[in-house]
Amino acid sequence: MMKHTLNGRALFLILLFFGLVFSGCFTILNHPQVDMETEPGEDYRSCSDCHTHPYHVTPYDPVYDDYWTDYYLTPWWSHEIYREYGEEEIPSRSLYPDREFNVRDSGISTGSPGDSSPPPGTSVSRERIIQTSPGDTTGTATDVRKRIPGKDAPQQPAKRSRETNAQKKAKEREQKEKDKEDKETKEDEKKTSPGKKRKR
Amino acid sequence: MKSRYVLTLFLMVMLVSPLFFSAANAQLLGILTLQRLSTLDRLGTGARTMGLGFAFTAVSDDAFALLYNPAGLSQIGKKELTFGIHHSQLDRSDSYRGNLAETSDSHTSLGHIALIYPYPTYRGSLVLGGGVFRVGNSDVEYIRSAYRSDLDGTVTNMFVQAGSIFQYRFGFGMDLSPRLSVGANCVIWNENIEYTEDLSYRGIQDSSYVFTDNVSADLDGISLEFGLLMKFTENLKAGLMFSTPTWLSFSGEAIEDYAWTERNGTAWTLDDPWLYTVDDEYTLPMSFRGGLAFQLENLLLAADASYTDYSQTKYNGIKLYNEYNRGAEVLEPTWNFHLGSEISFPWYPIRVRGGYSYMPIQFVGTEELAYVWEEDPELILNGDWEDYSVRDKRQYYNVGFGCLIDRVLTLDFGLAYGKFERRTLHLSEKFKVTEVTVSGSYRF
Repeated sequence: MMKHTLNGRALFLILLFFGLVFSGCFTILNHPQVDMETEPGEDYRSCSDCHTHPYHVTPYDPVYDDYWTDYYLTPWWSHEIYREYGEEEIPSRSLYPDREFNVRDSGISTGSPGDSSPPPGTSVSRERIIQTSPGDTTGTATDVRKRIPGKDAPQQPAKRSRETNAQKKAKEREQKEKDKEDKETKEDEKKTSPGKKRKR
Repeated sequence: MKSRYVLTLFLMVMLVSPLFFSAANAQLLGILTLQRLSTLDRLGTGARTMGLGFAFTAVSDDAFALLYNPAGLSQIGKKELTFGIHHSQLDRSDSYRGNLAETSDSHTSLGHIALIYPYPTYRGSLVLGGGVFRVGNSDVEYIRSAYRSDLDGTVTNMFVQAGSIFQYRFGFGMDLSPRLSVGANCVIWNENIEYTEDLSYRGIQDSSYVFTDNVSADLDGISLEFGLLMKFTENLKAGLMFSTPTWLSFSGEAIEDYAWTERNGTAWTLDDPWLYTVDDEYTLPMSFRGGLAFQLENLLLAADASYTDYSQTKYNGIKLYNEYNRGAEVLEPTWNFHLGSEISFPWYPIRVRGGYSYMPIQFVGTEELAYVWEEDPELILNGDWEDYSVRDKRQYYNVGFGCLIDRVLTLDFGLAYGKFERRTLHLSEKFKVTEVTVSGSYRF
């Protein structure tokens, strides 16, 4: 049996270490509480309204060859964030590299023709889409690993340029309901509210 | 060669007792046990780390951060399950008084198995991990045999031991800032040891004596580790790790047996083998390890240095010393150096590695040459304690390669080849060590 025990000094140092670490630091587990009210006419608020990347990147993240970037750098929960972004389906992995299974917006090319690097499914591919300017369907973008947030990030938050079929249908349904409400409101000679509010 | 100490215990065979040994040579036997267990010579494991020459303190971007720098855990973004097989081959030649005996011993076992879980964070990183790692090899096998004219007979000393040092490691790493990460590990040591020691003598008129000691023991221990990782730029990182003293408990049971034949032909055997227990404690000193890593997209260069003042090693609460030369150190402070590089290819997810490790032996103390001799009508158990002189300091040359399969699975292979040599007045030992590790890591 071990007869030794930690002496008081060592115990104090250990407690001090853990106290400093967990008392509050750079690492934050949960998103801060923010007002998620939408502006008039907006359907919903997306993470991409405020963030240019689904997770925090720093200028100090190590660089890897394209093949290894996703393996080392992309957090596993970034897929969950993609889901929160309103994606219809989470990109799945495939054994067939030519299949563009991971493209979030099917109308956007992830690179120039013949560009085989990086392969589909790497984070670089995703990042390129996220960094694409609004309305830009060319897919040209810089590698965010080398971007310092706040320094050369896009001034306008990137938005999805195309809607999925399910979202289109949902929007049509909402528009019909809205028209119906407007009609009823006019009939009642009442003022309409400036916009719909939705909490996430 | 500094000096030679001959201890003649002058015991009759029937009175040979380990308790007497313990009382007479407790410190020296403690040193011997540390050597044989290889508790101070932990090479480590891991195919990628092995390929990098174990220069991993500043790299630490996979599950082996648990072994080299827990702060590096903070760099891991995906859940990781990793598993490895470790194979050791030890070729050894012992030349005792001019008689050469060569032994070859191999051992294959679990190298490591570990699970890493990055807790989802909004900003920064918090990563938890745990696993078991085979960090040291305690397989020892040697034969020392020679005719000694001073004893009128042939003495033989044979020792066979099997065991592996496993460490159960549980740790975490987290970001304190975009550039600075910290981490900590709790390390639980465990090893099961089995060894047999045969001391035999064959004298004139076919007189003989065989002494056998069978020991089954457990080594348990605990230590804590604290790590720091600093990212200067996206290309340059520095790591630092501090290990607290390690508290080790060595306990077990042993059976001694002996049989002898006198010159007049009368043979004797022991009806009731001698049973005894071992219960010792060791305290290994704290150690420091630092490293730098320079990483480009296709090239990684890493260097590590570690320092441990092994002269502070304690045995049952007392600093280890040489009982027959109090002024002589038996263990000395040691610097280890490691260098490694890794190249990845842009056209295929393959990486090749090369490394070098300089890990000198900590023991400047003594080695036991145990034997039996006959002083008619008595048989006497003797032990020579002789000082080492290291002829060839221990160093390893490492190579390895790895590949990424379907972006989620890495397979790695690592090989380390090392050799060293040491001598006493009558003994020359040459070691050739080959370590092979194959591992796979699945990230999801």
